[in-house]
Amino acid sequence: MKEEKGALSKSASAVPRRGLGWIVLAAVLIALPFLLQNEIYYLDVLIFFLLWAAMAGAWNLAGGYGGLLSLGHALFFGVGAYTSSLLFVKLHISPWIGMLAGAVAAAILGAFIGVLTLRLKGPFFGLATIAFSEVFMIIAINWKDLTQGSQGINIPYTPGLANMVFDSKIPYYFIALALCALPYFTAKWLERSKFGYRLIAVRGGEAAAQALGINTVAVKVTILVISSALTAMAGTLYAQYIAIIEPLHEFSFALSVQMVLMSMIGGTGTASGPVFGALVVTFLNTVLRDVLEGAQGGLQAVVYGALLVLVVLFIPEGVIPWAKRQWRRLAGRVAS
Amino acid sequence: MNPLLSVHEVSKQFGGLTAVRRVSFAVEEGEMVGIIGPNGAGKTTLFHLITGFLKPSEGDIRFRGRSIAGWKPYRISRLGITRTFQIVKPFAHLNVLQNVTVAALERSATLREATRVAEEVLEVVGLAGYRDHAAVDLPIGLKKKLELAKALATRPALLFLDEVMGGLTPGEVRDMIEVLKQVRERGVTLCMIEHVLKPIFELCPRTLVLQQGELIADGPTEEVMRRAEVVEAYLGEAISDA
Ligand SMILES: Nc1ncnc2c1ncn2[C@@H]1O[C@H](COP(=O)(O)OP(=O)(O)OP(=O)(O)O)[C@@H](O)[C@H]1O
Ligand SMILES: [Mg+2]
Repeated sequence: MKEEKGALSKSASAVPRRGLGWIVLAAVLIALPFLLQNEIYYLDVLIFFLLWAAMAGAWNLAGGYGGLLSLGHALFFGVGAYTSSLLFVKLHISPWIGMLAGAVAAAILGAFIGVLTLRLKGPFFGLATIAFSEVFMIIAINWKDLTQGSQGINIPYTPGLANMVFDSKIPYYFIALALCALPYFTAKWLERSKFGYRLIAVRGGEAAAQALGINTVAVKVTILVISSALTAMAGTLYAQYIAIIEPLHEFSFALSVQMVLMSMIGGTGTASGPVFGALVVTFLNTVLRDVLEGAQGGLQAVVYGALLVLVVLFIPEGVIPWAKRQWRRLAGRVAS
Repeated sequence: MNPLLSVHEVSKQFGGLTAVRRVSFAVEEGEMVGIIGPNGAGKTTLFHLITGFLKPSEGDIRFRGRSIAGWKPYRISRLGITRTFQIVKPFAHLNVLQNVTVAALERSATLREATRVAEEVLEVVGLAGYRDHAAVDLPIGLKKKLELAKALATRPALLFLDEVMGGLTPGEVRDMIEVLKQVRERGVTLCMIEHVLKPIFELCPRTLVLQQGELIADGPTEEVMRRAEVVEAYLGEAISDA
């Protein structure tokens, strides 16, 4: 029988070395944008990587840790992007406040969908998230007075901290880094909290969890609310960074699938899985863009599809858990 | 005084099939009650009804005088009624200790306290040596013990065991009987479904017999086992099992 380090445990002896690792990592992450100051292209790639990691990480809290297979998380991303952008453009409210407003709006929407569908067995939740994102896309396209339809909303170029618009890419980098850290540390918290234990138990077996006194519906709705809010925050930053939002992208099924894909490649239900998955996808994006000079979107989808099939076939748990297992086995062999 | 549990004229229909028909009985604090009956008699369904996993079509269920019929399973569990599953359900992704820790959460202020309770319970059921093992990889005998450990970690007043002896070797059965004796000494009231009769004889002074959804006998175990209809209901069942 094999020992299970599981989703949840840590050995105490690794702590000091780990502390040092964190300091080094933090130093690199802080220095990186300054080193790349004149390499705008790479800095841009880096910002997108962090943004995708934030998005996938937020999805993973519900989809991975909670086992709630949402295929419509773009809904929350879009709600975040549209809430802050509309508040900013129409009412001149700072996107910082807009970001919080978007998170609250997405949280309410998540709670609504969760209460409606998470009590039911079957595919209702997954279908509902897809349906809601389609509905929101249609609203955003057709309510032209408010949203300018499929033309989208432009964020005016008015640099300033309060406007969350900058003439350098470096501030965006740090906001993206913070948004990437948020789901990561939330995941870490899940691994050592009562709530996280309940959540992982619910994923492992709902009836068994109920028999032990766990209100499984409440647990699932709660994680969906957290996940929705964090996804929306990524949406706001995205809108501010590229300065235009379009309903056909922001609420798109492709975007939803991307979040799932990145989490699955890295490993769902792990803190670093989505980060790694985002790294792989960003890398591929960049390479493909260079090779193909942005020509065919279809080919990209094929490459992603092939990648996912490979991962599911050969390392279904995702790369990070697989790599950790290999590492432990290797370490064990060296020790004995 | 009210009995700990009273089941009054409870029935359950699945479409045209009546799985449990007008069953009534009461359980007093500190009892150990055996429940037997052939396959499909409605034993598991009765447990589902009492623990909230199914709603009774008719009848009432009271715990310490309070009606709990139709309550959600988690609320019934928090009240002090827990059950094990005939088909064991360890949580994937969690090791043995973590599985039991989950069970202790609702009555613990902190994760640390829950972990301490879990360690104690693992000691009681004899799983302490397996605390770091993946729960899903345990052999069936140990999975049954884990199932029991999880139920115990909720610190129940009333515990329903659905065939915890099923699939165990004679040695493991003896072991499990000893564990259950300890559980009784801790003041837990027990109702246990078993196909293997030995543990019922050894542990339960009282036995209920279900057949085709009906309660056909309820009394002292020795007496019940001698009754003609029980022998009949069991012919070919228990005898081939034993
Ligand atoms: N959810 C359900 N839907 C329809 N019929 C059901 C359902 N659950 C149980 N039944 C039926 O109800 C009857 C009683 O089943 P139950 O599982 O309670 O029997 P049991 O006494 O526990 O049997 P066993 O000893 O095999 O575990 C059976 O005929 C079964 O097929
Ligand atoms: Mg049964």
